Amino acid sequence: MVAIQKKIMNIDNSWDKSAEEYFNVYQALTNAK
Amino acid sequence: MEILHVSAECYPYAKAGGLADVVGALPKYQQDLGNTVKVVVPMHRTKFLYDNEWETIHKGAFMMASSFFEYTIIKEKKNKLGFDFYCVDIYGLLDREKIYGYDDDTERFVAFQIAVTDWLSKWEHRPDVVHIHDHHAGLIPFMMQHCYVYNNLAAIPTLLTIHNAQYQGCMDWNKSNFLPAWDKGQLGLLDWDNKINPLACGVKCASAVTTVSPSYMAELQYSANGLEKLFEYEKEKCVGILNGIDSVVWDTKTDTYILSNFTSKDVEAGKKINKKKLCDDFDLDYEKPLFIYIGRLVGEKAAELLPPAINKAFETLDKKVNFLILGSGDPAVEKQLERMRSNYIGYYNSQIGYNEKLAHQMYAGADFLLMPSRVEPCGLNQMYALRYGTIPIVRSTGGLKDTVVDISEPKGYGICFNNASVDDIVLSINRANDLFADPKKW
Repeated sequence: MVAIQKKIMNIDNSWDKSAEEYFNVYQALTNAK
Repeated sequence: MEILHVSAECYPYAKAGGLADVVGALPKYQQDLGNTVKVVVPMHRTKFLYDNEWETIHKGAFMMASSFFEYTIIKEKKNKLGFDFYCVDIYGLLDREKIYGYDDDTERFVAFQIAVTDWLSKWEHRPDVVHIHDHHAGLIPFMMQHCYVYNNLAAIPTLLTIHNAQYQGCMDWNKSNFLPAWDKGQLGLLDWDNKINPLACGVKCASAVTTVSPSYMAELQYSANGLEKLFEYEKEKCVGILNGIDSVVWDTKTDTYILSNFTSKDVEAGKKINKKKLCDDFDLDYEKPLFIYIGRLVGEKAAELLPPAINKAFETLDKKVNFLILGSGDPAVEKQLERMRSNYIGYYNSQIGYNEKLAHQMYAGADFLLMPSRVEPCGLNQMYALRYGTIPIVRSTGGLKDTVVDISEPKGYGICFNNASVDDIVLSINRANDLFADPKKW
């Protein structure tokens, strides 16, 4: 039980990754302009 | 890069659902990446509005059908949210208590969009991207491109993020005169199924479209409340990007709502203390596995399945489990969940309503989180649960599919099921109970 709890607590679901993905979309749009 | 977000909600200013969380959090992170980010929302009479100082930065006016409206853009003075935050006030339309739910919502949100577009057309410079959210802002790309008075905005790229495609903001064609004079040759862009459909219009006119998870994006091609063919047709410009969680607010190390702070290193001891407190507070049995549900008690969340599933789980597992429910919604479901308290004293409890502090305590103290949702474009609760060491039990749909891997898989850590049914929920509770009872499996 503890092993799974440790594992799931360390999954990174923070906004950092998503914010970068949005930035990539913006960049593609502005480059295509 | 300068980004302007347009939304009906933004946490903590005004929140009805997940849209507010995204629009409150994403701009902060974008700002951290070095962008200049602005957010504009309709003015609602909220605590945040009255608790903060504002300055007027623009006044304008427009005609909508035969009515003349004056609007004011106000800006929060002290950058409390970490980015430039603006509200649009339109006298007689927007300055109200609730975000949604008025008979004139169509007029209110079309007027909001006209005011934002009008304001944007008066800027001395142009943002690099206009990022619109859901149908409440879905007409903006059309107006930027095809309303004659705003064609100075036509070259600005636009991104539409769909948080929930069930709501599309449809209106009859007799309201087409709400929009400022537009190119009638583009009528087809406004239309879907003989109505003006702001969400469909946004999908057609935005430069790109995102949804809040990759799986939800894929699902929209076969289940999108009538827009399936549109999503299939426009799939090349659509992409799913998972929402994140605010890892500062949701941090077991610093959370002031919970009795015992902990990290992954002392998770066993930390969760035990928090579980004991939660079980004491709600008269539950600390020794048994604790299953929680947190959220709206509505059909989209399959909340009406909770009472029969809990009843059946108690029958099949001979009351070896605990349940604690926090939420509000359908009055019939609320009543059932309240009534069950007297049937299962000592191993079931519920609190109707929403309580942020209790939600944190439940994530910290529970063993399993139930999410049997029929529709879950992204879902944040499963991510909060993971961060607090609580195993999610989810129906494999939308963002739940993208964030929870079944424990039978090599790298699995949660419990997944396919159908929003009592049998599937109970089967999953049984699987969880087996895991809880057999430490070797953990």
